[in-house]
Amino acid sequence: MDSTTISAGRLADQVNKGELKARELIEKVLQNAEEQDSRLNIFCSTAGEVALDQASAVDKKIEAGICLPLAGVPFTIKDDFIYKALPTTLGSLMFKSFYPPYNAAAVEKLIAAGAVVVGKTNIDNMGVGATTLDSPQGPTLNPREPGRIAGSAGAAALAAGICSLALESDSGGALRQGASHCGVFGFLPSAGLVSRHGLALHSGSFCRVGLSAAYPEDLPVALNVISGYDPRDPATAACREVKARREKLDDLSNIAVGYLETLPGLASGLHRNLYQDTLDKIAALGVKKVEVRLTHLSEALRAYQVIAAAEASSTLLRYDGIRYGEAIEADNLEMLYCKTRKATFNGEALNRSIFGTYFLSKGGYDRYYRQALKVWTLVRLELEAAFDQCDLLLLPAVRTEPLPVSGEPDFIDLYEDNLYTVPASMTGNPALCLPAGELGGAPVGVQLVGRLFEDAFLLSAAVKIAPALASAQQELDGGGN
Amino acid sequence: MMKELMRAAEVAKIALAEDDLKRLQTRFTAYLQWLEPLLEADCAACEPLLFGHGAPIVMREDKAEQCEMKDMGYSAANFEGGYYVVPPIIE
Repeated sequence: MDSTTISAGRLADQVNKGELKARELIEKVLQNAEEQDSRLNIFCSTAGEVALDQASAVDKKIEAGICLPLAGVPFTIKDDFIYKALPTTLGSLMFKSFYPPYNAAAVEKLIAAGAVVVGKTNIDNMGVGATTLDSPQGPTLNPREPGRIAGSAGAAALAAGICSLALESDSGGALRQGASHCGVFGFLPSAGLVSRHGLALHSGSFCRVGLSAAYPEDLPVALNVISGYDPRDPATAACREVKARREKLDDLSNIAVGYLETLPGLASGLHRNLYQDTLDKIAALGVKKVEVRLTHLSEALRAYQVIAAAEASSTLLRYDGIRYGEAIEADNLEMLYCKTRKATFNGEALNRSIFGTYFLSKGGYDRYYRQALKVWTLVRLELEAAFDQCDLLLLPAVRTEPLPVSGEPDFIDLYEDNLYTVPASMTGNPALCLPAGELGGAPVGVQLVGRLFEDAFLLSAAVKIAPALASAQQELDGGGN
Repeated sequence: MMKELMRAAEVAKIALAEDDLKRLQTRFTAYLQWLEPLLEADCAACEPLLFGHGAPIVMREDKAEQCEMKDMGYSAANFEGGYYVVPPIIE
């Protein structure tokens, strides 16, 4: 099965009508997954017999006359989501044998809707990162350009035709950047719309559950399945109190898209040209263009880093080797904690644990953390002002092409890569990455940001806009820097 | 700066060797330099934000509930008789 040739919706339709058996489908999916995984390093674990049993259960329900919205749809789970049947490694060797006692809420809901788990996908250590370069099993390769990273293993699984949906998480932009690098659709719902129960998050303010898909029309269906109030995640209570102003978009000519005239930080003129080209294609559909200004992007990025580090330093304290995961033997409890945590964290997770502790200390609190919280207000006010003028905001999704697999990127460059994804992360707005073309042979996407809780509106706009952007390979000539 | 990092590592309960600390110090210095624009941002008129969006914070009912502890110890390396078994705290 190649999921790039058929949407999840059509697949579910065939299974519901009895035209396709879920078990036969999943057998082919697992075979494809194994072949692709040896080439691309996508999975931490694959579901095997568990997936086949799930598929058989779906077939039984269909035979009993039950219709399931995602019947037989193969999906992957990023390995920072709790899933009982497979190890949840959190990107650390200290959790390689950790089988949790329950399933994450989003996983529960997708399985109840008939979707079938293919496997757990590769992540950076403790889910902190957007490259998988900090993963103990090495980075996931880009199916479109294997010499480059995929960014998100779930997006790679989609681009490789292994699955139809990928359950993902996003804090500063990992989901959206991975979708951009792999040429798929990556959707980050409004904060509070989807329960985070069972997501091993590292930042309470920014980590959210999201979805990636090869077809944009699959996202509203999947979102409908996983969203909604969950008493186990108090943040979801907000979505019951807020009524979205608009549910669905009827006519593109009734809306305005905000754009940036200047694009700081983009690596090349070719990329700027692609952004402009995308804007022109959207305008050609009848959408009005409105220039907006986001003057605090640079400060927003730095504020995000400080707050995320501070929160990670607190959230990651739970990983002490006592209640879950392995522990390093020591003569006393203090040394057990210190040695175990040193073995558990590496790369950016380690950095944030230490630096975040400093930002919350006497020396760092007022100067960095409190200042970052104030800049957060500036970011929110600026985005609100932008949305007074437009219905959707068009931003780049990434700064550069996907990084090469070899070599060690500068950590500051990796922070800078979040320049355009961090504003929506900070304000809780929904954001969708759409494929927009190619640069140097690798896919590049753009980001559409919507108003808070207008997720259905954003997705329906994307379904109408996406075909206009899905032209053949765009190799933009000239441009220069 | 080294003193601050050592103290942070101690509070974070992460055992760092001297090489680790030296590497972190180089990184931290570059990081703080990179953060300078944050410190220069004019937000004197801004209050610190505590959550990204202004949707209401909904409080649950103030009701006492039985805490479910059935999963306690499920994944622990050392769990006996309802207790997590750990090395000595006081020597």
